[in-house]
Amino acid sequence: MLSALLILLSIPVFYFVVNALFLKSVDESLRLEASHLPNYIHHIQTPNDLELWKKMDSDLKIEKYHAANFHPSPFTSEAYSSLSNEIEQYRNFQKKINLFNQDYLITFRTSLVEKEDLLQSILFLQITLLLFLFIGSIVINKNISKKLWKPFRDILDFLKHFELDQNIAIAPKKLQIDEFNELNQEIHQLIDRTQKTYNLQKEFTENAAHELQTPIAIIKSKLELFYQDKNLTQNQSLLVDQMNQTLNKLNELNKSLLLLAKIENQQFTFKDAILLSQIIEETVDELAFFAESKSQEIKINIVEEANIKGNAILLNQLLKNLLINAIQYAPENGVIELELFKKGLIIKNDGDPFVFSEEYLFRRFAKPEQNEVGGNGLGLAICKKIADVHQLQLSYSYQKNQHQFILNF
Amino acid sequence: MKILIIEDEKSLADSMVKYLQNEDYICEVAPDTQLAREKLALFDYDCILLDIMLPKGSGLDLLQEIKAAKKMDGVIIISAKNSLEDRIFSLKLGADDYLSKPFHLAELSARIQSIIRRRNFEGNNIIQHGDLMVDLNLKIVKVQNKEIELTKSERALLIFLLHNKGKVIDKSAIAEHLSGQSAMYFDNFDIIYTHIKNLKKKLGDAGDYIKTVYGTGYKLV
Repeated sequence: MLSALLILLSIPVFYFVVNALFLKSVDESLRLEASHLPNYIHHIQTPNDLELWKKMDSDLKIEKYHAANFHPSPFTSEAYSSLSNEIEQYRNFQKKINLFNQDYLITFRTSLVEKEDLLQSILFLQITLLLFLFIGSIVINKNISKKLWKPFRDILDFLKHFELDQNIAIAPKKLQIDEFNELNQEIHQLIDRTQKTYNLQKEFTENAAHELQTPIAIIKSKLELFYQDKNLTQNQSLLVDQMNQTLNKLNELNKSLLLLAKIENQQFTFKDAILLSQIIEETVDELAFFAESKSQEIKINIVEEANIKGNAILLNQLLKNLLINAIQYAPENGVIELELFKKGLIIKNDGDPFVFSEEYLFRRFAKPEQNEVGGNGLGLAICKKIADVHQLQLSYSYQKNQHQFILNF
Repeated sequence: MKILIIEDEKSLADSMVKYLQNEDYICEVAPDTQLAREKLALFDYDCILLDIMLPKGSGLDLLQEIKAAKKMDGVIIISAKNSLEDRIFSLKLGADDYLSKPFHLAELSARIQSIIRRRNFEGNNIIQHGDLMVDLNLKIVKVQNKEIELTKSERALLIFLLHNKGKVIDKSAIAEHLSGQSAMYFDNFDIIYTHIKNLKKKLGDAGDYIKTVYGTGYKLV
């Protein structure tokens, strides 16, 4: 690019230099011609000779001397040429001579047509050369950089598509260029370390959640035995009941964490062929008791049947969480609608809009305010995770006073 | 009836023993696979509650041994691992049921009883309580020999109460039993109350067997 620019700049410079050189050489030949004048001026003996001379030599102009017309150095002028029928440039050199006691001004002149032709050809050549150079350099540059940067592109591509929870360790390729090799190695080491840390953390979550199950189970059983005590006062049984409810929440939270950890630890396979209408009906059937407890109606509308490949347990959970969510947020006596299309599923329920930003919706524990509804802040995060591992799109919108969750297959 | 509890968590095993012993059960506890093997070699049990993760070996290995020995004991797997694979695997190996920790003792009791019933009284699966008679096979409920129409939920509720005779069952255990889901999602338990109310009404005089325990739940006496 820079070389092309240089060449572009060189064109006017070149023009001026050639122009100057050409003029200089023309001037020199004119001077030379003029310097020969004394050698033959003595042939002019009579005014008639002078007239003859004027007529014979067309490159010569002889006129009476006027100081105003005299230029001591060469100069350029324009004149009409009868030959080419256009105005042409001439280079002139004047010399003062004395003939028959009269001062004459002799102007030697040379046409500059050649110069123009020459410059035009040079310019044409230059521009052609420049174009070739320009196009050539672009093509060559592109090819070279494509080749040269290929390993870099590869690395970049790898990084772009890299996801921490997709456990693919790619062995660093041996590359031609040392710098890239080093970069590649460092990246792989970094990924390796990050992945190890990530795995440790995941393992920790799973183990921790797992270890919590037993103490929860023990407390739960003890509380149940507590209920059986015949001497329990009303106050005491209310307290036990509150403990029991809280323990249920703790248990559910723990289960959710465990599920998330399991999904992240890739303990599920995605090979089941799933008939959407079937799991919808199953899920609605399972949760009918909840809807019934709030006198809600669940409407299923199978517009088109949909098939997807994935994990049946997880998709069931996804659907269950979305439906539980709808049941919880829909008012008493409200309606919950499920619409199934070939390309997606919509779950709608009436309800007031959320007061918090929708971006919080799918985040873990992101409950910006205390709500009375008994979620644990993980339900939708799990939904999102399950949708992600199935490469499905889960989105939310609020329309016509309805919450809508849309799952695109 | 004899029950063997193979569970290494002593505290949890204690709770199970305490809850179950009032029913007509004799419970024994084996905290590891070795002791369990000894007990199994010496006695027959009506039902075995088996934890999967045990000291000195896996519960699933033990399950295979029990099944290989062609013992008639019913087996309920009790596991902290709530994975469907485990559940399916256990049932394939011949377990009769699978309960994941933590569970309600009332639920455990109900599961034990339905297994024992299934194994011992084949063809005659009837629960009798005073004037009340429930045929589990025919899904018929009778009060003083008169058949009573109950909804699916009401019948399930009645059987659950009958399986936990004399025990206070908290409403979340009932909710979980009827819905198969965590009770956490119930913001109120009115539906349980409604079901109980309807059930008592339909049972007429026999409805008085069901008592409300203030603040906590219900009890069938």
